[in-house]
Amino acid sequence: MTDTAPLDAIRKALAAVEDPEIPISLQDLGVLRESSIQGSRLRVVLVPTRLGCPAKGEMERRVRAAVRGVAPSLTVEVIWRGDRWTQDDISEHGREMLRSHGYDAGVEAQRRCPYCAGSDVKQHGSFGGSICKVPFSCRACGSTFEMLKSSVMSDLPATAGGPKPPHAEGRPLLRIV
Amino acid sequence: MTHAKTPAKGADVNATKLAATAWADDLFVFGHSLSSWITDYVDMEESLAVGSMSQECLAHAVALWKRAGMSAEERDRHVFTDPLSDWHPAALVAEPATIWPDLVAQGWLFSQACCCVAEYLGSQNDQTDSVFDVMVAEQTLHVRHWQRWVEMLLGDQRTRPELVESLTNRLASTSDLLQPVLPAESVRQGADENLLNSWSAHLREAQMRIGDAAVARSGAPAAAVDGARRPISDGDALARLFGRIREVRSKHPEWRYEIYD
Repeated sequence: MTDTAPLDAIRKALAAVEDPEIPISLQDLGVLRESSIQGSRLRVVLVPTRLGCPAKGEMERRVRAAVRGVAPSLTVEVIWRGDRWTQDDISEHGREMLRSHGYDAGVEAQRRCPYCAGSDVKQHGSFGGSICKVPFSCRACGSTFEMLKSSVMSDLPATAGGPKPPHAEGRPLLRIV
Repeated sequence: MTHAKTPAKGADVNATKLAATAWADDLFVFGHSLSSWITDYVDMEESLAVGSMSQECLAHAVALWKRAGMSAEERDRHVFTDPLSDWHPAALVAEPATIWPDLVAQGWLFSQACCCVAEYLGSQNDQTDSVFDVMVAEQTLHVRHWQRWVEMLLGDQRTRPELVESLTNRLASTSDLLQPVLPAESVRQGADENLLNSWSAHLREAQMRIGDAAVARSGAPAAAVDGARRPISDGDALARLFGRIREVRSKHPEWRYEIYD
C-alpha cells in the first residue's frame, strides 16, 4: 500500500463509475468485481455482461479516469475476465436503479413492466438495441422496456435466490494485498 | 455442460492453440459477413439480432485468439496486413450468403458447430477459465434464433424449397469444418470422439429436417474432418471482404481501429 493513496477515496471513486449506457454504477451492475492494491499498482477486475460488449473500452477509460482523479500516482491495471455475468450479480440498489430507468432487472421469474408493474408483457425476440438487452412491450400500459441479458441466458433469465457474490451485496471491493 | 474437470489426458497444448486460432478465424469471417446484413435486411428487429450476433462472433474470435497467445499487435497484423493465404477458413463460412434462406442455413449450422467446438476447447483448457462456457451459452442463443427461422421457412411451402436447397448445399460444405480442431489423423486414432459425436447429433437433426432425398443430394459428410481447407486466394468472395476491411487501414493509416476487444 502506498502512503499517498487515499483508500476510501479510491473505493468511492471506483464505486461511482457509471455504465456508459445506463445510469447505474459498474459496481451495482456487477461488472466491477474486484480491486486490489499492491504497492503502487491498482488491479481492477471487470466482467462484461456479454463477451461482445462494445462499451468495454469506455468502461475501462472511466475506471482509469476515476482512479487518476483521486490517486494519480497509482498504476492501474484493468483486467477483463470472461466470467459468467447474470442478473444475480446486480445489487439490490442496482435493481431499483434499473427499474427507475425503465428496465426489468430480470431477477424474478415473471417479467414485469417497470412502468406499471403489469405482468402481461410480450417479448420481441432475443436481441434488443444493444447486445445485452432483450426487448419487451407491456400489453397493459403500452410501454416498451428492456431487460438485461445474462451472458449465460439462452432464453430464460436466471432465477433469484441463493447466496449473492460480494459485489452484489454491496460489500467493499477494494482490498490490500 | 459436460466439461471434464481437468484438461483431457494427452491434450496437446500447441494443437489446441492452432485449433483455437483456426476457429477464431472462422468466427471473424462469419461475424464480418453477418454484419453486411445489418442494413440489407428490412426488418428492424432482425437487423438488431444480426448486428448483435455479428458483434458476438467477433468478440468470440478475439477471445480465442487471445487464448491462443496472440497479442493485440499480432491480431492487428493478422487482420490488416498478413497475406490472405495465411487464412484457411472453413468452406461453410468461406462463401458469404447472398440470399436470406442461405444465411439462415449457414448461421444455423455454424452456430451449432461453434457450440460443439467451444465446449470441446473448454475441455482442453484451463478449467478455471469460464470463457468457453460463456461462449457456448452465447452461441446457443444464436442457434435458437436461427432455428426459429429454419422452422418458419420450412413450415411454409412457399419458402421451404429455397431453405432446403440452401441447407443441402451448406451441409455439403462441412467436410472440412472440424478439421483444424480434430485433424483426421487424430480421429482415426480415436483421440477424442466427444466433439464428433456432438456435431454428428446436430448434423442428424439438420438432415432430418430436409429429408432423405436432400441429404443424399448433399453428400453430407459424417465426420467433417476429412476435407482439406484451402487458403483465401484472389477472386474469392472473402478476398473482396478483406479488401473492404483493409481499405480503411490503407486509406487512413492514422486511424487506429483496434481489433475488437
